[in-house]
Amino acid sequence: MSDRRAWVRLDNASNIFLAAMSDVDTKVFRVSAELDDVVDPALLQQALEIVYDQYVLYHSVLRRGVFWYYLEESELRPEVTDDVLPPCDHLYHFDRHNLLFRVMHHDRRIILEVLHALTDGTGASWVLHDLVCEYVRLRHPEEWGESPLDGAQPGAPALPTRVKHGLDPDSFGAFHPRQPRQFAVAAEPAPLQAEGAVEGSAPAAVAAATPPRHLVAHDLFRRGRRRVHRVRGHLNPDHRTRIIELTMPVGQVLPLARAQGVSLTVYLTALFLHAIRDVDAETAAGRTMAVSVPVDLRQRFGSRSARNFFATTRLEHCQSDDSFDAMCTSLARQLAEQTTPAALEAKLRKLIGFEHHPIGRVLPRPLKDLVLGAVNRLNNRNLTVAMTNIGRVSFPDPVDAHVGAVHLAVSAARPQFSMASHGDLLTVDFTSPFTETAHQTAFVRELTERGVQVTVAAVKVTADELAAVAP
Amino acid sequence: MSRCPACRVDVRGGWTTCPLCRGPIVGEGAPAPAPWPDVPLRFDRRVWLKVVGLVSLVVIAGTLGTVVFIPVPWVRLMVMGLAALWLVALITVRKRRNVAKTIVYLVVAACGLCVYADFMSGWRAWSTTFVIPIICAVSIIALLVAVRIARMRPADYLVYSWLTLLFSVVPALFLAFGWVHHTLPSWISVAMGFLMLVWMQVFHGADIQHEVRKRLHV
Repeated sequence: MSDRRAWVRLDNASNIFLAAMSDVDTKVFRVSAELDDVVDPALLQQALEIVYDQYVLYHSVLRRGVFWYYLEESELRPEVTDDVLPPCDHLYHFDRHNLLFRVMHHDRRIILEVLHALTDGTGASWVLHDLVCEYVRLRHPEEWGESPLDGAQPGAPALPTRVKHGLDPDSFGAFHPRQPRQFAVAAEPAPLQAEGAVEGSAPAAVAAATPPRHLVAHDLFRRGRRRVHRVRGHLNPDHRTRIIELTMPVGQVLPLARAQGVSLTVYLTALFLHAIRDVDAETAAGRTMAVSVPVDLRQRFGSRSARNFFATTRLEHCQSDDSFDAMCTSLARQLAEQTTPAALEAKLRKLIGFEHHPIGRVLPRPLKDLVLGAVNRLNNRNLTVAMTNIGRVSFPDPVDAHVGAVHLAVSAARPQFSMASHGDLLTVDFTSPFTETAHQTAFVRELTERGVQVTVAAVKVTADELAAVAP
Repeated sequence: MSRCPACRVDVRGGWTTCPLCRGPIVGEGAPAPAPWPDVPLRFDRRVWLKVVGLVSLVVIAGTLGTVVFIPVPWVRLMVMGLAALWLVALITVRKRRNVAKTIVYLVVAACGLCVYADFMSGWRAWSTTFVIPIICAVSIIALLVAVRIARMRPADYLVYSWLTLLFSVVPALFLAFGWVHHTLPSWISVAMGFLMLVWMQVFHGADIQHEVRKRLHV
């Protein structure tokens, strides 16, 4: 029968997103780029058609088997829509076999929302990158002359478009629907793809290099000993995600981080923890502040997989010295410790081991969801906030001039923030399931007090906010 | 551009107060447009919680009242009727996107309830003689019609059709163990199920194997 379709089982690491999905935390994230002109939906649709054909992984629909979820190739075509839903709205419903991403536009902004089970921020930023490039090429054909887009600019990073997810550019040639192998390769779990990278080295040396206190079980049950401060609040009335979007010049923040001798990631994370400690002075007293920071594994293991491929590090700060300087130093030291080649390799080994775990394999899917959901809840109890940074996004030359700020925002079960930068614009997008904004306010004020110019945009979440219209 | 002097930030979008500190904002001219539209609330969880709480109270009070004022045999029948009602409602709502799946669930639920009712009323084997074979035979016809009306993709209904057919040969066991007073309904169900199974094996054997392997992948 012609109806037989390619499918690939969903890896455990992605499965956790489905197990942790809830009404509040949709496990959907959005990457968006602001252009210099109002977006033309017809041209964006054309650009999407081109990019969609190149990213076979995005043809997936998610389905349920007895033991696993699996990604199945579909013949659906995506359609560009107006941005009419609350941000990071649900993308997966167990019986609705729709695509796991959506492309929208609003005013000057191109928005891509993706289910986290499909890919991570870096993977999605490639698609946004290609989408924006194609769109600008169609919008301003006069600037392109004869050169095709993939004649990459000298010095510019190679476009992942033609790479087709970890393969040589020409190994498959053009996209043809219904090529099971093409889909199977694109959808293969990244840790399994990278298995070869860790096979050669000695695991003993790695084990010695890993601080034993970061073992999963130890992490999960340490709550009894040291209480971790958790941010509380009132859930947003219709469970939408509140985004508070900050845009600021990189040139004003980077020197501040440099002055502390730490990276931007560490600086802003420390600033947020510090802000929370200030606001929650009473409830947080004597408690540990913990933050989870994901680390992209692609660079370290030479992977070009478009699937989820990251490891999380957990940084914490205890009471002993509460100054901002001490926080910066301590977070930077922990991050460095947990991202040494040996530590990352250990994390990758753990991911691979997780995939091959015999009990994990034969556990029926509903039980897997229960177990992973419980693991996730225990994990959440041990976290104050989360952050993520997709780093600098750049476009080839004729496109770059048309693009302003690039944003990343992730649906959240607790307050978290996401960083991205493009050109001289740094964006910090706070997301939160709560109506309260005190922590974010304290963070912003700490920045503006240090002379940083910040522009704020926020999603309205309560009936009062939506009813009040500015003159 | 609007500005919050307390937070020292520029504010985008139509806010009357600072979105961060709720303090007053100042500014001349129209504010810079927000990067997203203001989407109206779809529901308000506080209102929902109130409604759900109230309905629960009414249901609990009603149940208690029934138990106190109505004789016991009637209560059992009413509880079964209510359970059946809710089960059917739940199945049809939850599985509404796959009619083949709905039929499988309904067949299992209906057969289970009937066996239970038969057992509770002194086991006269009316469920195994009439109800289950008839439900199974009819479900085959329902399936054939429904997947055509719903224009389903074979991959989406093959496994469920196959399950339905498997159920419909189960009355062969009733015949073997002598759980029936009349054999005709069971024979009809078994014959229909068997013939359809052979037909599916011949024409869709490989597809069913593909679907089953996919769903049972370990």
